[in-house]
Amino acid sequence: MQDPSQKMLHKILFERRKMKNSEVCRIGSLPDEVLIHILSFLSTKEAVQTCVLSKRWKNIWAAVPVVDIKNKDFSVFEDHDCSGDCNEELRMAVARFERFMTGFLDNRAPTNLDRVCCVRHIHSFELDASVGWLDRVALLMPQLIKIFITSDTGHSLDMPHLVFSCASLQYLSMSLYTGINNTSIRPVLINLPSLKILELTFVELHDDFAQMLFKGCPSLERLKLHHCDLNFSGISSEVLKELTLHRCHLYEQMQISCPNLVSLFMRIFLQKGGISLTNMSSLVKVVIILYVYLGDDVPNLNLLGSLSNAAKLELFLGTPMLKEQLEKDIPNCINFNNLKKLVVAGKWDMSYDFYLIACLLKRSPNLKEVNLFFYESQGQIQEPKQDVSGDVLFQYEYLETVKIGHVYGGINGQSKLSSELINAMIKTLGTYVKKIGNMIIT
Amino acid sequence: MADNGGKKITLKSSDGEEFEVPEVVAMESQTIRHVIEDVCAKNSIPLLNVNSKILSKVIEYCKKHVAAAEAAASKASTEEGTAAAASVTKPSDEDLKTWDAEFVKVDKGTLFNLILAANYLHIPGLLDLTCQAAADMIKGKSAKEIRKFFNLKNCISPEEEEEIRRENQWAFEEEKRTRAFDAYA
Repeated sequence: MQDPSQKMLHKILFERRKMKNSEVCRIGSLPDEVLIHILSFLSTKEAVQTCVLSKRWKNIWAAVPVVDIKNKDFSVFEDHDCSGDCNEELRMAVARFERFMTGFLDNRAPTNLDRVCCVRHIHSFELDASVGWLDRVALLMPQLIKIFITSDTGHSLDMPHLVFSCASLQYLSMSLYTGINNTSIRPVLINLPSLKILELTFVELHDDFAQMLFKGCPSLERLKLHHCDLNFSGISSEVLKELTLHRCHLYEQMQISCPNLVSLFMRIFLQKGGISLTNMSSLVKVVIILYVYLGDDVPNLNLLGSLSNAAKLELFLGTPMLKEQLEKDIPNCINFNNLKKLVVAGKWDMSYDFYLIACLLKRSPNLKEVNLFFYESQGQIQEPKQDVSGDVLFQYEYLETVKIGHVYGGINGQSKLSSELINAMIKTLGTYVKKIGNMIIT
Repeated sequence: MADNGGKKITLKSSDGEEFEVPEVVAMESQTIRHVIEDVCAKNSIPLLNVNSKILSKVIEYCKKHVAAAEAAASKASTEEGTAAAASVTKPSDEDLKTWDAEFVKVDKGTLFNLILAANYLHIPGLLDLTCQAAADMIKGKSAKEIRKFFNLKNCISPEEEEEIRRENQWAFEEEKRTRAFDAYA
């Protein structure tokens, strides 16, 4: 129990701040730290412009630890709606943007930044455009940097390197679209001890980068590469938990070895080489979508042996040749004891050639759901393999749910399997599965 | 939401009203959490900076978010592949966002009181939600419009304003042509 004098002190301290129900709270009654927090939700330009609101607001903007800036903020026209000298106006807008960045960094309080988000379009006339202010910003120890750059110059962009040695950085996302080739990233040094999430888009990556990345980012948990050119042969990390390779082109035989990886998503165009997975004992969710480009190269696929702990496996094979490569991988499989959901999609007639799926079924004793997306075979139909296990007849006991549909059904919703094909599949399933709880035809 | 035998705690507003809430809901406030964990043996916590109207709204927010977190956690543990569940925006996330958007549709005075309460009680989610709503009120407005909307006292003279604009010239180089140029009173 508080003693009477303490109660008195408490009452005095808080009496004047006690808000009666009838009193209206105004923005002026908010303390500075709160006003700063509110301004952090505005674009930096809008935040700075609050300096004229009143005496109180003159320098609130200077303490906001956020940079949120688009060069669109600096163009006078609402929407590329130029009449008259468009180019001249665009030049002036770019100059305004650059002056703003300099003015902002020169005049703000000497405190660190929390997050930096920038969208910058580099016009074709900006032949010596640079993003040098990124270096300045990296020195202010932000936790998050998100940069989205598109360029019309046709030249590759000179990336400042201080971003790659920012000790406070936890989240880095860079998208560098130049229209023709991907931007090659070759920093001198990567030292990002706090980095947890890295996202790179439209970037070309080589072996030296990959090695430096995993060595220099000891805390990296999530790596996402979008529309990248992968010229490296290994992804090897003890710490990585989530790996996403989305719409990437692969030019090497790539080995992925990440014992703590829980989630793997790959949507890859195989130009050369292939993929092998080793030492992936923590993998729970796996999505592998593969396409090949025309050519004689036959990709080396060494995938199934490392997926034995997966709970959900989704495979899409862009050509029947990929299916054949995967079939060669089957002897490497151990059982998929944890597998509950299996999705196989591909461009071959699965009702006729069920071999791959039958092999996977045989090795997955605890499956609940199977989804199969396929279509009519095109061109030459090869005689499918029959001998699943050496047993005369292999039959799966029970599947709770089976869903079948056209391999393009999801994309435009138009494509549907013909009724002949559906019936053929149901018949095939009947020979391989004793009992199906729920059959869904999409 | 589990209301069966979970520990309850009483929060007392500045105008004397008492609110009994499950401890887990009250702990959404880091201020209250510290009081419970460090000071301990507290069954009733007086909150002299928060009146009953605002406190009941704060409690409403905390209850909703605790319930949403519990629902998400139980769904993730029953679904196969916890990594899969975690990386997908489920319908319940959308529902919560919609609920949050409705929650901040209040008059300015109430909003600022909520901001103060979220700040005092250290409830980061509520502070972000309410500050974002306040920022949305500022977006797109000219200086004149902002002053009027927020009833800002302590205005500066046109000369002083001109001075500041000159000092920070790099920030005022143009106004969008499609908006009426009315920055000067």
